Amino acid sequence: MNKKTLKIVLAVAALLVCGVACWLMFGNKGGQARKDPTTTAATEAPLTEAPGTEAPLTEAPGTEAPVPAGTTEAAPATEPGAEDGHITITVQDKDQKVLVEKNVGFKAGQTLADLLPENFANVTIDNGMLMTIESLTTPADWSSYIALFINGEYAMEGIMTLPFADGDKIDFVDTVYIPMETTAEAEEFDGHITITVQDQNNNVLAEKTVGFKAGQSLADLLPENFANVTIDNGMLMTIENLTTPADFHTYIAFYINGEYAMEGVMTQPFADGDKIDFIDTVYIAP
Amino acid sequence: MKKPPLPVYEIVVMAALTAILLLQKQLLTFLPNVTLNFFLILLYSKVLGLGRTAAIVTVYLLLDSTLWGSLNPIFTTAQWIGWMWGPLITCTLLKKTESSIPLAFANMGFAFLYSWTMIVPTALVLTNQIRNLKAYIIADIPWELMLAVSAFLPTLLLHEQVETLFRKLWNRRMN
Repeated sequence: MNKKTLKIVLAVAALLVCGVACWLMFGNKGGQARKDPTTTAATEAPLTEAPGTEAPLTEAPGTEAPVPAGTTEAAPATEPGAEDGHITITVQDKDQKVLVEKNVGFKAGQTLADLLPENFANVTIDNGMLMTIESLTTPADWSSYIALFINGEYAMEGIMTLPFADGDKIDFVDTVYIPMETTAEAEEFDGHITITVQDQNNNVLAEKTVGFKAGQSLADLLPENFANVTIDNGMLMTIENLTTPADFHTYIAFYINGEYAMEGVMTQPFADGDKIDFIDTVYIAP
Repeated sequence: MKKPPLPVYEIVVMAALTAILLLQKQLLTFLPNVTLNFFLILLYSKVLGLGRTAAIVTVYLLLDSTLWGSLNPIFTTAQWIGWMWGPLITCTLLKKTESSIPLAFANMGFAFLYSWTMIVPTALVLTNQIRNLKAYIIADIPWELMLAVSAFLPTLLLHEQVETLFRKLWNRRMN
């Protein structure tokens, strides 16, 4: 093997290593930003493992679940509609009166986000969330939202990722959103965690004990309980008065029970009684 | 007339080389742990020697740390040590090595040495935050790989040509 060939082989090998490193850093959307918050952390996220407890959340249509019909999570686009078939999609108003009902054919790999604009009027999808469909509209103040149900059960995923099969029934129901403060007493949480926000000197800027339900992630809990929460591509960019600056010389690291969290806010599992710390951290770039 | 220890034109060239080091670092900040620092520092070490490269690295590091707000005795010292592994080994053990392949592997090693050096101040300073050092070190591996590849590839593909050119220009200026 001459030197030139050896160089090419080594360069290709290096690129492969680079690819593996990139996959480890960026492949996990829910990973925690660490050395550079433009990226995600190293570990493979078990996306099937629901944050919070393992019990599935199944709510009947009509209950006020404060989750819109959509998800900000990136869509894998391989799971939904595993085989060709037909599904029934309805659009219902607040009284669950069916406004539109259609039997829709789909091809393997298609998501609801693909099917809706082709089959319904006035479909708007913003950041993976269904904002309008037919005459239903999500108002700017989010006093109502379009909830998604599959075969009568509250969907655990959004229109970008929800898997469905031939014969399934999908309902989009206009649902009143009742803020946490008014439902807190009535709601039964599956557990409570303590969340703190700390500056670079570990001064606690905010501390709250937060109730969670099975299946909820930190990404769900933070915007409901803290001010100025921005999550970008699965990474916590701002919370309270902590901000990740544009040059990323600091980032918001987070710890679970005092240990550096190996996953991000989208996927980090937690349990009742856990303590989560979000700490402003200086990034020492090479 | 007695020759000055460091002629003005050498200082000017070294300042320009420091600027190049700093500029590429700033330009590549959008790519995590991708930097031409290792490639350039190895190049400087081969052509300019240990003393001049150490001076360039020191000035670069002070400017860079000031820009990034990470100027801190513990971190900055550790970074200096991390960056100086390359010039030190290149100007001693690898003094006679000219082929880009062993130099590329050496540079990859320098990237790992830099990363491991930085674990020490991280563990010292952030003990209250990083209570699980093992998890931190494991999480660091892909970042280390990224840094190693960014040190390896440019050296493998560009070092020989750039060194020839740089040496030619440097010697012409010096003569």
